[in-house]
Amino acid sequence: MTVDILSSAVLDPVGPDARRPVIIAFMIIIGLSLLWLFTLAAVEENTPEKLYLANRSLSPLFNGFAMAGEQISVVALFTLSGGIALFGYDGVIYAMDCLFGLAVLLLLAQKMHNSGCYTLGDLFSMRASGTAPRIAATMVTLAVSMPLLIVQLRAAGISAAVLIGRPTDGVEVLCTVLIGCLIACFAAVAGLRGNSFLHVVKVPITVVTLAAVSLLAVRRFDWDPGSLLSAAVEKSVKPDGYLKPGLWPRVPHLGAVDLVGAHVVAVLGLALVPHMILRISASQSGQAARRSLSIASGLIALFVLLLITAGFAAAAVLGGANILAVDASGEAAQIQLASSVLSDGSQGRVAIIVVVACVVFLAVLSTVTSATFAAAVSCAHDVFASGKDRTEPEEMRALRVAAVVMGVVGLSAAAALHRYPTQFLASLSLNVAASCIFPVLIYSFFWRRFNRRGLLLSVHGGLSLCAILTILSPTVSGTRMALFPDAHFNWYPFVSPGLVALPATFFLGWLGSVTSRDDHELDFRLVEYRLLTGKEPGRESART
Amino acid sequence: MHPHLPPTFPGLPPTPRHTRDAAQVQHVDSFRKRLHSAQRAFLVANAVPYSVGILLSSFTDIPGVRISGHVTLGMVWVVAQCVVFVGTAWVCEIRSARSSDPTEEPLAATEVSGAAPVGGLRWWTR
Repeated sequence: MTVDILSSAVLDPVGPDARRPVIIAFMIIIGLSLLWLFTLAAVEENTPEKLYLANRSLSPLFNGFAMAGEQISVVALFTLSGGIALFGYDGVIYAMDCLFGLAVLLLLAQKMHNSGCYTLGDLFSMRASGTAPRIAATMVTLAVSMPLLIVQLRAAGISAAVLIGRPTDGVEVLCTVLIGCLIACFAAVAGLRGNSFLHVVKVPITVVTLAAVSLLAVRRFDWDPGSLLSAAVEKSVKPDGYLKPGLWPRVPHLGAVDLVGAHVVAVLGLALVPHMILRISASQSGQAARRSLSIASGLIALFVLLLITAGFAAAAVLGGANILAVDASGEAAQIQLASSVLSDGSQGRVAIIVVVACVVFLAVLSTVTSATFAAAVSCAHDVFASGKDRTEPEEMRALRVAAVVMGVVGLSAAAALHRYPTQFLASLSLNVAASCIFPVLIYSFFWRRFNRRGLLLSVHGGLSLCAILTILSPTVSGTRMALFPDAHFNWYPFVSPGLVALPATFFLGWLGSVTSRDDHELDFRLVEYRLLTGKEPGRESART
Repeated sequence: MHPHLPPTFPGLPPTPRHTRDAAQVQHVDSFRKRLHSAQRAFLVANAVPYSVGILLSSFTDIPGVRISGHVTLGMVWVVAQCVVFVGTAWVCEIRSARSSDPTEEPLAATEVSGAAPVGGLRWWTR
């Protein structure tokens, strides 16, 4: 991963002339963020739903931009574009997973919103009573959100250290801790509405920056995209295979099957993260949620196409060998590209590096705050308040405490792990989201016989399988990129635990449901009515 | 709604307005069919090319076939998928909006705050 090489102090793609402006830009953004934070703190939301869901008042356009923003994380920006720059076609296919994740959400969004549920606990409780489904949902939420938080904070610390020209261990940890503290404050104070503004600002800035960097790269090839693509192929590490499948590192023997599993997990996992579920509920209605996703789809399609262009531009301008010299996974490729598209010493070069730094900061602040906030909402709503006699101020206080605790735990773990590969954490997060959430939602929305036993069996089974298979996978031991490269307990041959866990969870959900004698025919018809119309059955009659 | 759904929901107070309720059930049923038809078309239009792309990339070298210069079949396929995705998303949105708008009701947060779980389902008390 990034750390080993980035931390070796050999990297300074920004250069001394841009260092001071980048640091000033960081200070300005932090200042503006704090100002925004104090403004939000002054506008006190008086009910939990106003804080969690912005009173279900976000317009389709606004929420569409915010949904697109949720998908534009620092990992998507740097890992995907680096993957495209280094591995060509294989990287492009992974970038497409971001887009198709939205397709899954597009199909489920209206039902999710109409259900009136906004946490996983609510969704799980739709077909199962008691506190056990809510506790299981909180476990799943934490298993998805905490690894995301750690991975993104770590990447943020490293990127910030590179951008300010001090990629040493101490500076990386310091940047991680400072950014983590800011995020904890934001998650505790901002609420969904405040964070949505950050996403809405981030999306156009990111798209324009990627477009500008790509255009400047094309300009170096006399405005001929064909020449840029040719240069990317010729300067890549393997010109013959750059635009063919197979360059992305695969596990031996079963690599093709593993790849299919990884794509399925990425599509489902990126779609069903808890913060997206929360955001869907913030729309005004089910149709507004669906429309927001249509808008987000257009924006993310544009983002993916620009990411592909920027990835190829990085390969063409820098060359595969130069990208690899800095980082084995190519995560610094975009920063390198931004500092190379214009000549040294020019004002334009400094400006573009500063803008890239702003994009990095905004991407980190908004996406990590979202993940932290969703996890805190789950703790406050599903564990602290559910089934107990809590007042609304108590629930909101619990949310703020949970957000701060999660922020502190996340930044501590990110600082502790900053010298280690964290691919296993990203893998765990996506696999849990795909394996534990997707089957339950499909059964809850579409299968009449699904019941409490089926739900608990599938969620606990899926969670356990994901954890065990991740520990036994090549991301934890036995490979060069593993957490313990010298240990060999990688008995599970695939990188993606979802290949087994996803079908197993479906099976366990079915098995638990058919072996229970509960009859949920009536419940399902009521649920189905509500999912379709957003209305409570019988209320229409009562009105008339 | 489900074909054998009675005009009034069991467990809820019976109402004399059976004709109105039956019409409502029929309306919801037809809405469900139209919505699912739009979603099915969107799913097929995107899942099939995506799955074909992934399977061909994983098991064969077909995506690496050159079409023009360095441009390969796989790259053209990816760009086409992006375009198809955005196009079908909008078509699906238009079709769904046409069928769903009259029946749907926005949820207000004030309704949610009075919710209490009953029999595993959150009901909104008014």
